[in-house]
Amino acid sequence: MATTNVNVIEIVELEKVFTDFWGRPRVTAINGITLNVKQGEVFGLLGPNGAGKTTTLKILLGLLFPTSGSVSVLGQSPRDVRIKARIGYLPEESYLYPFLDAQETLDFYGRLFKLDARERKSRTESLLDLVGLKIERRRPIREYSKGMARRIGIAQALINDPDLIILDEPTSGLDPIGSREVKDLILRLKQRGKTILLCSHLLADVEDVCDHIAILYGGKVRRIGTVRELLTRKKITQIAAEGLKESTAEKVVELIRSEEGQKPVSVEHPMTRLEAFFLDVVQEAESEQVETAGATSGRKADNFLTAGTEAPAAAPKDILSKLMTESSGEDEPTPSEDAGTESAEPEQEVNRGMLHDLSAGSENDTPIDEEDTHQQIEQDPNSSILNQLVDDRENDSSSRDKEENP
Amino acid sequence: MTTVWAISRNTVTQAFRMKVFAFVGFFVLVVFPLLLFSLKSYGSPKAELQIVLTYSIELATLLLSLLTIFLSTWTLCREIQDRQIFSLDTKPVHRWQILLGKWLGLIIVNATLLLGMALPTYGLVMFLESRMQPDERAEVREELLVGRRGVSPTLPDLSGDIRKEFQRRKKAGGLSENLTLEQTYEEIKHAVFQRHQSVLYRFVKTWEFRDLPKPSDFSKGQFLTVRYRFFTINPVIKKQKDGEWQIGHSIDKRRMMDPFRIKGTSTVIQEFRIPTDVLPVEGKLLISYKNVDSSEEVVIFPVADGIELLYPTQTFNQNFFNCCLLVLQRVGFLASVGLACGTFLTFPMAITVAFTGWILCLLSNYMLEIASHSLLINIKDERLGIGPAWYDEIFRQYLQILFSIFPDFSYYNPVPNLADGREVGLAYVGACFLFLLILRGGAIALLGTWIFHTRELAKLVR
Repeated sequence: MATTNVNVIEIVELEKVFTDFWGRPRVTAINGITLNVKQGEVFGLLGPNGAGKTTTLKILLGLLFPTSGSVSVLGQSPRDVRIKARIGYLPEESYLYPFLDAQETLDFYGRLFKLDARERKSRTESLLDLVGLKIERRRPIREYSKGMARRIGIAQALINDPDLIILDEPTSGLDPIGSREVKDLILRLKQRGKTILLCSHLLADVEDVCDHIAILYGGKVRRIGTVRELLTRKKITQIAAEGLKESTAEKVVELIRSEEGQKPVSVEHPMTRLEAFFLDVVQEAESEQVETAGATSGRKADNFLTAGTEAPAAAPKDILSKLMTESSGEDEPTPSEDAGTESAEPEQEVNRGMLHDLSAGSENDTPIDEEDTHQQIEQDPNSSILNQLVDDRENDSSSRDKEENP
Repeated sequence: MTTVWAISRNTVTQAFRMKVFAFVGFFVLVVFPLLLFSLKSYGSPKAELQIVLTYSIELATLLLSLLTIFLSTWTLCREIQDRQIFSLDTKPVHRWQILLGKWLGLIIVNATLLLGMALPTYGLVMFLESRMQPDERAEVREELLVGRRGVSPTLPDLSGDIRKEFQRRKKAGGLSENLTLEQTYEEIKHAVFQRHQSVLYRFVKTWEFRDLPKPSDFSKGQFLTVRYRFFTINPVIKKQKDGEWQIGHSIDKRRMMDPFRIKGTSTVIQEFRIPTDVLPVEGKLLISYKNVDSSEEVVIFPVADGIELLYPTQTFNQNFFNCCLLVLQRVGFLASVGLACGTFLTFPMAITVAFTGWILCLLSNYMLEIASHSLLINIKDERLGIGPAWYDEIFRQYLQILFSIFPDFSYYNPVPNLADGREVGLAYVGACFLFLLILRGGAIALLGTWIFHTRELAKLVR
């Protein structure tokens, strides 16, 4: 879904000064921030520690009150309880109740959103599946690793199918697979028309998923704009070609020098990103069914993210799809149907690495099998994740158009 | 309500999964029944039952009060300190709903524990009663395992006598310098009433009891109980005294009992039973005492608890249940205090403040008594001549205001009534609900809610 011009978040001249017990100013955490987040975009707040990112998020959530300036979330004050029904929030650390298990946690938050029992159960199932904690659902959260707690934190942020999702360091504590899954999830949510505001100091995360970014320092916005605007080096042109002979490359260099003069020209083989390489290795291990005691990939992340791409009868619908179909009176799958689908192709789902999701993101695309994916990676090893995402988004937007205008 | 209920459930789950709760649960289910069975009797079967009832309910109240203070402060403070409140407050939940949900959860936890302690107590009482001899059983059923309402005699208007005595003392210079005028008046009033309650040898003292139920209000086999206590000139020494009692008025011979003598012991509370059919239809009964003791010594019935007429109004089961409701109301009030403290203090501070509040509630009656009758700063002001110094009066007023904030828990303690076979009526329970839980607890809860509403939850409190 494309970004619209409607501002979901409006921050004007925001200032936050922390005071001591006697009301004397102690720290100026935010010093005149102005920014807007539009509906349907992924907006990243970047900055070093103490830049004011988390404070801004907490003001947007009503956990802190602004000293001056104005803040509007979904057209209302952040302290308006009604708008909170449309917000999903993942705190910096998951801050969950250690005495509850994963299922109870999601059930509890579902109750706060007044979801009925059937809906809570259905969403809990889907989300546990999504974050890969279905097997560990009955373990108390106090026994979870940081990464597992993070996953359940993400699930609780999505239990209400929010319009605005605020994520504070969403990939903190996650392994590269989990981190990739979260980033893919963010992209899928964006495709669903959700607005996402995330704050991170992991630049790669932000680069991968954000449309707009704002870089904060000392409580002020230092730079703001789209990722492309801010990162494109317009004075440098890069030409990429596959299987180019050395002689051809030399000719190209010669041609450039003859036409453009003695400007510096370099010819080199670009490197893949470590993340892509790592995921490739893990995927290879998974395909060989190597045993591991660690966390597994979100088993049905594909199903959740690509809902509607597979045959409707076989694929369990994700909560977002369900919400969309509920209004049209479509029946939800019963738990037994869900279970049946799970057992039908669990290994196949495990073996789908998250890179597949990027290419299989389109809702009307046919599922891509392992071989196809390998082929694609091998064929195009040097393409950046960002380019893949752009392609993916284009595919998705076209498929969304098809879905909306069949 | 769904939201409040969800938070309540979460609070209950939290409490039930705490190690502290496991300890309390072990105590309630294992140690408490053992303690009950180990209580030894040092007197009559009735005394044995009184000990069981007193100790068990007092112990339950103490345990639940301590647990409530801990849980109520812990549940909110830890949630703020560990920041789970971030996930909760960013959901569509009003902050008052968070507090109300937690309060309800605490009440459920307390009710569960109270049930765990009340059932063994009730079971033991029934067991002990079943083992008694028939006459003993009849006695405890009439005097202990019942809810009786007490009626005190109507006191005559003695204001004229009090004024005369005041004037007499003033002229004679017999007014105490250490007392205020009000205190002096109270002292004289007490002395006048005491004189009025004294019975000289061969004299008769008659008390009138009004607003009594009709004979038709009682079922067959039920009795009225006359409870009395008297002193002699030396109140420390116990003495046996002969007294002749007469029940009813000579104008209604049918409802009048023949005079009978009882040898009573001074300083000790004693009871005797009378049939319900002596009650006149108009609900007014006369009871007379004639001092016939050969020692010719004066007998004094104290003003406060010299004589009382008791009649059954409800069963022991109702009494016991109402008593449990009162215990629950007290811990409900403490839960409000604990949660209110948790809205703006860290856990160590919150539990300290709540605990101090609880102690002050327990001592409130005693402290108010001290404040109204003692010189707290024992310095006399020569210029004023009579009464305490002005600064002493200010300090006294200050103490009275301070302690009037804390409810007097002795007033809301049903144990003396239960162990005495007195009624713990719905009116009493309702009054406690209104004044303790709604007005005082509600005011504290409102204050806590306001603080919580205006608080920046993400701002750490150190």
